[in-house]
Amino acid sequence: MPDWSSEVRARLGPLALSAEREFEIAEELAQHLEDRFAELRVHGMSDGDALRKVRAELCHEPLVDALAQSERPHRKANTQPPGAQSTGSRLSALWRDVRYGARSLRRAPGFTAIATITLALGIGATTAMFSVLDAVLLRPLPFAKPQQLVRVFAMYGGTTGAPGSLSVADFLALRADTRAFSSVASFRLPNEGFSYVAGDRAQRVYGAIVSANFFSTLGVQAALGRGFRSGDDGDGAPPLVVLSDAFWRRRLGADPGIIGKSLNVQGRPTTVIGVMPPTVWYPRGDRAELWMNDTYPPPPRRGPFGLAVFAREKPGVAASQRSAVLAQISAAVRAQFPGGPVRWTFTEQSMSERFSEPLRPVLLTLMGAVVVVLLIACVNVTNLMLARATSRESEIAVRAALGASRAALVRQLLIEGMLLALLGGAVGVVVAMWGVRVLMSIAPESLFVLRDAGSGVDGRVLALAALATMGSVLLFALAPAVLGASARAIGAVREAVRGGTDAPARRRLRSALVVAEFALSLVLLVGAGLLIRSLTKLRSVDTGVHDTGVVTASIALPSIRYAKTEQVNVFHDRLFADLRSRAGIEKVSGSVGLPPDVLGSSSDFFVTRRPPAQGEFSPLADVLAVDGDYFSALGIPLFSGRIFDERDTRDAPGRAIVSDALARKYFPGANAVGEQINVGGPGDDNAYTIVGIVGNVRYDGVAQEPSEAIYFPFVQGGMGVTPSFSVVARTREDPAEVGRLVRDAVRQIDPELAVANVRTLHELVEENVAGDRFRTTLLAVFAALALVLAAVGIYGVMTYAVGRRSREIGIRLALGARAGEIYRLVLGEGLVVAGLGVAIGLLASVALTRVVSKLLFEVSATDAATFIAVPVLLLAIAALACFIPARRASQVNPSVTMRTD
Amino acid sequence: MITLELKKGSADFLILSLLRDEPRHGYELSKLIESRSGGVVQFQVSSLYPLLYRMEERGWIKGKWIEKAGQRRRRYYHITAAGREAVKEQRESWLEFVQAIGQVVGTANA
Repeated sequence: MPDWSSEVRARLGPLALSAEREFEIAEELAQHLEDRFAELRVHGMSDGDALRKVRAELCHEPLVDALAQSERPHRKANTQPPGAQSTGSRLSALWRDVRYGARSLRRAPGFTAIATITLALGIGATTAMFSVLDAVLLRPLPFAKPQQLVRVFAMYGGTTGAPGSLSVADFLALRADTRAFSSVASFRLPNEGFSYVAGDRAQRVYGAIVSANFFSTLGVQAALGRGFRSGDDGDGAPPLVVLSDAFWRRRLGADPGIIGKSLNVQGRPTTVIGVMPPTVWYPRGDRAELWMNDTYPPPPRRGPFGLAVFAREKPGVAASQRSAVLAQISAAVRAQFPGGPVRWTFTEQSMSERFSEPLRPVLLTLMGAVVVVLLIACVNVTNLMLARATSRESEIAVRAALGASRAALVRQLLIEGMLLALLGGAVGVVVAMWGVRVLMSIAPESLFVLRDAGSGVDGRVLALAALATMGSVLLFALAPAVLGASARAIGAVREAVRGGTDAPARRRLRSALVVAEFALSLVLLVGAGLLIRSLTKLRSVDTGVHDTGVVTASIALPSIRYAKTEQVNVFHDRLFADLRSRAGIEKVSGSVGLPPDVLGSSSDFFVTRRPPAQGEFSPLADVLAVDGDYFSALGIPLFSGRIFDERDTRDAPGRAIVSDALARKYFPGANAVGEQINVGGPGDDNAYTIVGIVGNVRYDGVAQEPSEAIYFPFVQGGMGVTPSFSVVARTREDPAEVGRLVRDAVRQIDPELAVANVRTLHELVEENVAGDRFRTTLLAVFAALALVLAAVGIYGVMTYAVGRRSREIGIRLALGARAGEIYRLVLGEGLVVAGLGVAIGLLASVALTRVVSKLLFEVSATDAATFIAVPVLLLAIAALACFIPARRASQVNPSVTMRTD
Repeated sequence: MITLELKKGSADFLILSLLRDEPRHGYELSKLIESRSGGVVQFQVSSLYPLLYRMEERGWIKGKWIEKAGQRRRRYYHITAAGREAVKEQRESWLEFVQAIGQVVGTANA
């Protein structure tokens, strides 16, 4: 019998039909001709006669003309599948492939949705995180030649000590020496900010007090007016202020004639000389509102410290030369002010490093997490595409049989992958823009540099997203193209449709991908687990106080109107007498410091009867001036002696209360009460008698050890004039109400004073761990993302595997296998894959968690609990994800599955 | 034997009428038309299928590949709702036409 199909197709040629349509028509007509031929033979016609007659009928009417009436429009409505090389140009072939790809994606909405979401999450998270990384680590600081800028610190006790701030004496000596640095500038950051009175409204603003060459050393220009210039920081210079762009716009309505006008800052008329552009935020960052000029009266001694110093390196001076010069200057300062500690020197640190260094481990960890999520996302999509390629084998085989070249098939798969990646990429960019906004809104203030990221997604970031997109396309589109586009004969169609077995190579690849997915997820989950454990420990830290029901507020007294201790004391006494009389306030006290991280100051001290040897460095302690009710307001226990009371008047001899940690360390085995300590120098003036020992409180941050603290009676002036302090009140009322009470009381005494930072103590503690919570939240979100993706991945693979093997499972069931055995079969296979991934992930985690170790608080990087819980969790998720396909497999009806041939 | 010209007008009607009861494949349709017309009307492959495709294009019938046990897959055509409408209309106009012809012929004979 002749091949009718090819005879028909030969006649259809001129119509240039789509391959699919041509195949369909040929098959239908060939069947008819076969039947007709058989019929004629049954009626006794000879083979030759029958053949001739059938052919004649085929040519009875011009088939092409007849078909042309219906098939031309038909062809337009229905496009050709790829692989059919039609007469169109290459571009139109490409366009056709694109449309075909889009249609085939639309036809599989589940697959397209999962793949798009997976990709969008991966790409979006990468882009968002890169925007942040870019802003914090990669983008240079907004100064001229930022690589030349260094911070200068004092180092005590060699290289192991912590870098400390400098004194005026240090700064003047450094500034005078021009061998190493072309310019040396200083700044101070008053914690309490400045009072700023506009009309009858007193406000608190924040900024820095800087040297005259501050802006010129940074290399930035004012947008309006000028910066400080030489002489502005001379002794007796008038108060001047340079405003930030934000201050100028928000508080002054961007007044273009502001230069030369006077503002009431710190109770003094202060002349505005310039407005900085928005890019200038140094050094306050989160609260850069204004810069005031500092003055440097000739220092009588080396201290006090508290000056931050930065400098611009002189080009051509090597680092070794600079450190030699620094050593000489420090020696000169020691010679100028003898009697202090001898083992100290100056050290320098690159400014950009200093900015990025604390963030580096955080951001690198998060970036690693994001890359892992992107990898997992790509692996998932690869798996999806592989599964799809396999299930489309019949379609591909048909096309190959119809003459589509391998190149055309690969091209089609690539285009489909590309479409998917573009879709995922586009949604991903939206996710990224949204992600940056979310990141910036939940970022703690210490990550203020993020504000520079603005709306976030800039050209470079977009380019990276595109790169990630295209990379993932190649990753997941090529694999199915290579594996799935094998041009097999049409015989493959039947085999593929029957779905007997999966190609072992492909199954191994897909299993390997799931193994990788689980390994990657495990690493992330371990990282997130460690951070969560760390955060839990951090939040359960005993700060030494009862933080419920405690409200704090801060008050800064401008030094002009409160220059004398008496003035401060009068204000203090009136305020607290008023507050104590108010209903709703149980206990109230002033204090210059607050747990967990607002420390007024620290000072050197020694036990009076054991003065330090010549040149020996005295230990440092945190010093706070407080009222007697401070301890009961905060719930700090009294261990021994007494707290401050009415005996500790202004004129009474100096008295102090010390923390338990200090007492144990410096008076081991003895009662410190009654002992004398010298704070801030030798001599009777600096001697204080210890009257009580109280519980330890953390003033250096939740993650730091409790402070060795010395408390002075507020009324005795403590370390001298205390121009700013906090109000600490224990209340059962609404905190906002207490804030209103404090504001009210302050306004009655001094209407020009502003009350700021009304917070509950609980909020202060939360703010202190905000950074940790931020990074933990981010990593946990990424880990959860990875977990979901991995679960989806193994579920997809197992569902698919079960589907492919339903015949085998049917045979097993028919041969007497029980449902339990099928469960074991499927679950076992899934868990072997997951287990392998978990094992590899564990090894990788041990190696990689060292990155996280810097971020951990009281948790080992190889924390046993995490390393046990996470694999168990992951395996449980894997079991769950395999359970559904396993159940489906056990419910297979053997008689149905075996008949689907 | 009926000429091609006559067939064209009525072929749609014939096919739709045959499909009203059950879906049929092309060969079956050609055999039914041939046997029911006593061999008077014959469709060759080269005219039947273009006709079927045109009718499908119009939405009167719909072809579907169906595999039956023990057979290879074949394309079966079933009538659509639009097809049923069309057959109804054609049936009415056909009856009118036959009536009119009868009247003309009858008058002529009288």
